[in-house]
Amino acid sequence: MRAYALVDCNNFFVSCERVFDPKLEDAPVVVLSSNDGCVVSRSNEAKALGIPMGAPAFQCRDIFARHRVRVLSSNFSLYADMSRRVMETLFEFCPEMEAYSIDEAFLRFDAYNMTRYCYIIGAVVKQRTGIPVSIGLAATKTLAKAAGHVAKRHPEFGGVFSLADHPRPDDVLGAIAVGDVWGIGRQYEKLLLGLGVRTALDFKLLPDATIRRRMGASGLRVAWELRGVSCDDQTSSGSDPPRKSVISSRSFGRPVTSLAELKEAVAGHVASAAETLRQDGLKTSLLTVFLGIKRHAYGTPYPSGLNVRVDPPTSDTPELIRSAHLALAAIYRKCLPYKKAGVRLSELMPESPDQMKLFGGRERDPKRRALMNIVDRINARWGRGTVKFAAEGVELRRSRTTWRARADFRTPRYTTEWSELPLAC
Amino acid sequence: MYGGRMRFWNDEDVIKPDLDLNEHLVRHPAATFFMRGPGGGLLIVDRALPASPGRLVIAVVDGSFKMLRLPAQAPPGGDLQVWGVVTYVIRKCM
Repeated sequence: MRAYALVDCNNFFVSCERVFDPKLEDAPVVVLSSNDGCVVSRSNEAKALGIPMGAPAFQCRDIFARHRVRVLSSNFSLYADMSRRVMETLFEFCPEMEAYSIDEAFLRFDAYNMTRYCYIIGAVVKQRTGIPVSIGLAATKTLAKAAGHVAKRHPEFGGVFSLADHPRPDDVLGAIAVGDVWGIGRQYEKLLLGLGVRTALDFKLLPDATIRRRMGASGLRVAWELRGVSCDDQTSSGSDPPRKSVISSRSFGRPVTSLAELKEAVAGHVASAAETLRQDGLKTSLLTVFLGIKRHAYGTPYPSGLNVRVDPPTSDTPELIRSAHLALAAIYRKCLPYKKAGVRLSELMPESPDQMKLFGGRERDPKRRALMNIVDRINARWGRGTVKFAAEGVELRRSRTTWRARADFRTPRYTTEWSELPLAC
Repeated sequence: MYGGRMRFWNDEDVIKPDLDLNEHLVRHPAATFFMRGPGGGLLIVDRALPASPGRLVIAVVDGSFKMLRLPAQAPPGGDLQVWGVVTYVIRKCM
């Protein structure tokens, strides 16, 4: 008897900030996207003031001032580290866990009645990491996601909601908007609303033929999951095990000392690895850049590799190149003879069904994906490298400093910098 | 960097890697945080441990962190909000 729990951190970025600054408790707090663009996390008090998710910061200046809203810049080092802690804690409870995003994970149980266990999980995560979570428990991932929404919106349930424990699960589905169903993005939502399908229940009851015709196999999968049939992970009928990571690296023909050349090499590796990711329908949330020097040449070890958290997870080559170059700049040392450079993309996850993420208001996502699609198809037809990204093979004259994003209100990196540790008096 | 084990021809002679301070001092990695103490020492704070009487803890007082030892008896003023238990204080001697 399989059950899925979806563990979802409440207002994750704000919650991370609150762990280290208790004065933020019970106050309206928002966190802005990178470059201080849009609101990407709100405390419940901020939500109550009517500040919408994704609102551009400059538009909210008035509300912020009037209600003394605490406005913070994104502190990705902190959020990534806190996410790791939450995930590690969940793993202790359930090795069959799958981190889905920076603040959500699916746990898979093979037992009945895990509700009480879920309450314990929530309490322990809160105690150990300080992060409050909501847990939805159901027979399939899609249903667990829906149950998670209910748990989050109804704090009176104490943070856990189990669909199986509810006397009339269809009533619950009837109260969930069809656009809120996991796997139904904006485009499909519009289509379904046009057909008079307003709720998750309406969608569940649609005939298969209609769903297949309008939404294809992926739409059908969502419907079956809502009906309680788990269509978990299309690891193509047990052929290859899901990929854990993709590595691209190569030794140089001669020692390389210039940063410019290393950047080109790294960009090339990123392009190659990302292409593989897209082929397998995956995206990454952790990128590692590594350099190798001639062995035994320089005694003291120095950082030869660096991990970069990729959030939101992506398979978009230009974005990954940007992150890789940041990491490279951090580990590069002048005048060292590098013999090898490489890139690893890990913590892979499937490219989720068509969803629009409101991160930094980047609405170009579908267009960008279409662009990557075209690049891939040209390269597949005419040979790898037919279409390349500028970063891969153009002589760079000067590194752009315009990539340095604004972060006027960033809090200290409490858990990742020795010089920024919290103080106790 | 040298995480492996060196082996000699006799498989029973295994040299273990160096003593790892991290392993020794941190029992619950996901729940362990570092802070700067009032005397300038480095504090290792574990949120997974229970706040039993007599233990050195980090408490939240008026929105800030305060290091104090929990009294043997619960104080009359109501429950203290404990953030974590201080397991080690590391002092620099130079």
